[in-house]
Amino acid sequence: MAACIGKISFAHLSKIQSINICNRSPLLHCQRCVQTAGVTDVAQVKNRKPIIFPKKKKRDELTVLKCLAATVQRDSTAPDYMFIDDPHLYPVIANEKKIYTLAKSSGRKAARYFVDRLPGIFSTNMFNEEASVPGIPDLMPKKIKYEHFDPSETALIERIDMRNVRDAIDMYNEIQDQELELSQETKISLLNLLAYYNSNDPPEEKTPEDMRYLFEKRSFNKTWKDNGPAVKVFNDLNEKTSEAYCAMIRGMTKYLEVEKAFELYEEMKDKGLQAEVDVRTYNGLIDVMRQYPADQEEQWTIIMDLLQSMKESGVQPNVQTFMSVLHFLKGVMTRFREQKVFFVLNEMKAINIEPTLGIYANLLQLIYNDHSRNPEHPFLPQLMDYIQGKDFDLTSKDDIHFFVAAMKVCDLYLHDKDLAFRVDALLHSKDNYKFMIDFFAESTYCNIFLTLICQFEHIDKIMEVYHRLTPNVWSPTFSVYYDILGAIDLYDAYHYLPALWSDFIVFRIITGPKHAQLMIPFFQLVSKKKHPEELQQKFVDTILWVINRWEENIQLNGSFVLTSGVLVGELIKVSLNANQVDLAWKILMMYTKHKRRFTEQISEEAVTMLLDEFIKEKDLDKTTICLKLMSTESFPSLAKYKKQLRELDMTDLEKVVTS
Amino acid sequence: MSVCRSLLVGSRCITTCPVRGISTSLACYKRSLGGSEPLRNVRAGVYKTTRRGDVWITYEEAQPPPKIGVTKSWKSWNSSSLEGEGRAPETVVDDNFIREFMKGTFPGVLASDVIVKRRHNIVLISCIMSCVLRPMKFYFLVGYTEELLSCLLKCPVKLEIQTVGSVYDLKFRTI
Repeated sequence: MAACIGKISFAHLSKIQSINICNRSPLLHCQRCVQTAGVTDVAQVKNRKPIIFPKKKKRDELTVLKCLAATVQRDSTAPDYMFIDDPHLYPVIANEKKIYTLAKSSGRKAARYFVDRLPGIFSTNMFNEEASVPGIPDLMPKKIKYEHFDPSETALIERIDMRNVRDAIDMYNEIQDQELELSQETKISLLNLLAYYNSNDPPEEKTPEDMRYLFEKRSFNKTWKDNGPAVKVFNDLNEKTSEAYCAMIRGMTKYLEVEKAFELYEEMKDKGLQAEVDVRTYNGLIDVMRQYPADQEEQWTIIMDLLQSMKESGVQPNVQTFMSVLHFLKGVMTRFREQKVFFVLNEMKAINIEPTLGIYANLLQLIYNDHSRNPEHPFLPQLMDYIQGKDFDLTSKDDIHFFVAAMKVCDLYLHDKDLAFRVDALLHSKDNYKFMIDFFAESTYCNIFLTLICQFEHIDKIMEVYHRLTPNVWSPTFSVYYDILGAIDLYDAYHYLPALWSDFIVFRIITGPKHAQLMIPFFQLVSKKKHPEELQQKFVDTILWVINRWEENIQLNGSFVLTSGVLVGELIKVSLNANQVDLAWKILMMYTKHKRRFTEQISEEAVTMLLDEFIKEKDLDKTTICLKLMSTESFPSLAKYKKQLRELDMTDLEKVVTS
Repeated sequence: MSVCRSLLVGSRCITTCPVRGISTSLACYKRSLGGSEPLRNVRAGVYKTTRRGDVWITYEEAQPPPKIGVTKSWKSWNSSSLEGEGRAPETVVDDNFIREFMKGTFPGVLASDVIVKRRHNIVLISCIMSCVLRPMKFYFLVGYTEELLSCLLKCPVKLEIQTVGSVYDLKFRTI
């Protein structure tokens, strides 16, 4: 074997000769070596592809952190990072999660209040040193420190740059009073500011905790200030340029002053400024089309006109444009929008715009809402093939609705559990979980997901998903538990019931006033048959827990007081199944003692089962009480028992039976 | 003579002291006069026994100062004492301020001493609290403390708290 020693000088040649360097990497061959090598070697070398070194990638300072972040996933066994990881302090039920999150947020706001009120203390650190290097602006008090106070253009620009709308309006009024000159540029930037914020100060920044719960909803009320400062500045303009018009139209469409916005648009057209309208203005106009006073046909014609004029003036539409068109289509009649949805999608494809998740969410709602016509439209399965494994950016509010919309379609229209798991896999791939900002979207998603798989999936898989999601990600509702109990009934998976019972207690579902709603189906399921001894003992423990709490609450006038006779009947049946006759008797006694509180009658089957037990034991007193109860409740099987007892010849019972 | 004996006893103590890790040979034991302080009668930082013996102390209080770094750890973790690092006095004052602030913000709740750790540019404050407040109030105060201290120290501050049912859960032994 030939060792390539081309340009490299090795100290111990004899050792190296035995190693075939060439064999490992063909690039290390020098020319001489290739010539002297054997024929097979040359053939091998020629067959191998040369190694192509990848080009150096451009990396920013966050690349390493992003790379590291991609290696970790949300740990569903631990509470959210927002909460304190301590048994006393982490929340379990949904309401607690909300209260704790917002409590933390308001704590932050309280601190912010002091920081902003006392800039003297908080503008430096504790030793009067200048703030940290490099400084963190978020940790500094928000102090408004102007350099210019006299009315002048520089003072106005200063206020506009700081986005202090009220101060800017005051300064503008002072300038107007003193009749000072203002440049066109400054006026336009002032107009932009006023129109964007509707002449109000910018809203307070939300803390990350607020984002989870106080997600803004789309408002449909007009809030634009007629004859407000923005209109005044616009009227004061000497020369009304296209920029000024656009700023006004954008502001008006944002705050739903629809008719005036279109009037201004017409005015622009008349002045020949049509070509200078920008894409954001067009988007705004299309977005408010639903509020425009005209019938649907006319509204659609106006949208088409707007799109046509965009094309004529060479304005490239963006994702928001199509989103606005879809928003319009969501509000119109199904008959009207039939073909138009796909028209929008094709148009996006034609101009090479990649749809966002928000677009897909709107499409899903539009296509499947009309479920009487196309209940099994193949759009979602095809879409999942297309977007599988991709990651998306969070660009608009509609994006967060995609996963809920997709899961809804899987559940209501397609009834497809495999597709649902694919949607779930997409949610958990890459960093797509960022779309679950909104807490309500997250819990709705989980509810629908569980409801769907409870219908079609095996119980083991259902419980696996259930344990993955609860209690840290999601707190289940009543309806989901009904579905899970149904699935347990279907697959006879009674061994899951004790765990489910402890979850009822953890989620405080059965300790509230509506406890009977879930306890009745639970114990109905348990009482269906006799279970193995170990499992049966666990059910007896749950009954003891119920009885103890019942007794406590009756004494303390608490909320956990049984009022359903059916439930009491089920409890008796379960205890009889476990051969706990004394326990069943105790429950019956509690029922007869507090009979006035009950709204429903005790079930006949439970009493007869107990009676059978006593007849077998020949317990005279208890049989008598049971028979008395049966006669007061007027159960139809009383006659049968009378006959049976006569045959048994329990003479002492004759009196009771005949009475 | 008594001084000599105490020194000898002291040096024997040194041989067994796990912190110092110094081993002394027998020859040395016999002849030399050790320069280090005698450990037999060290009383600083050690709790005296009471007459009745019914005062309880926590695990941390039960460990004498030589056990720092062995069976218990420090209350301030920072690198200001290393060579080339600045802000040693400032760090001490900051830490003390944080402790006072915590005492004032969580009155009657703190069950242990406050431990202040500095990691990169983050200050981590951890302590054990007794759960006398409702969880909602805890969350409010945690948010408040984090934000206010962040603005004061000009760096992110995080609170890591654990709760105990009552202060008596921390009982280690009686003295």
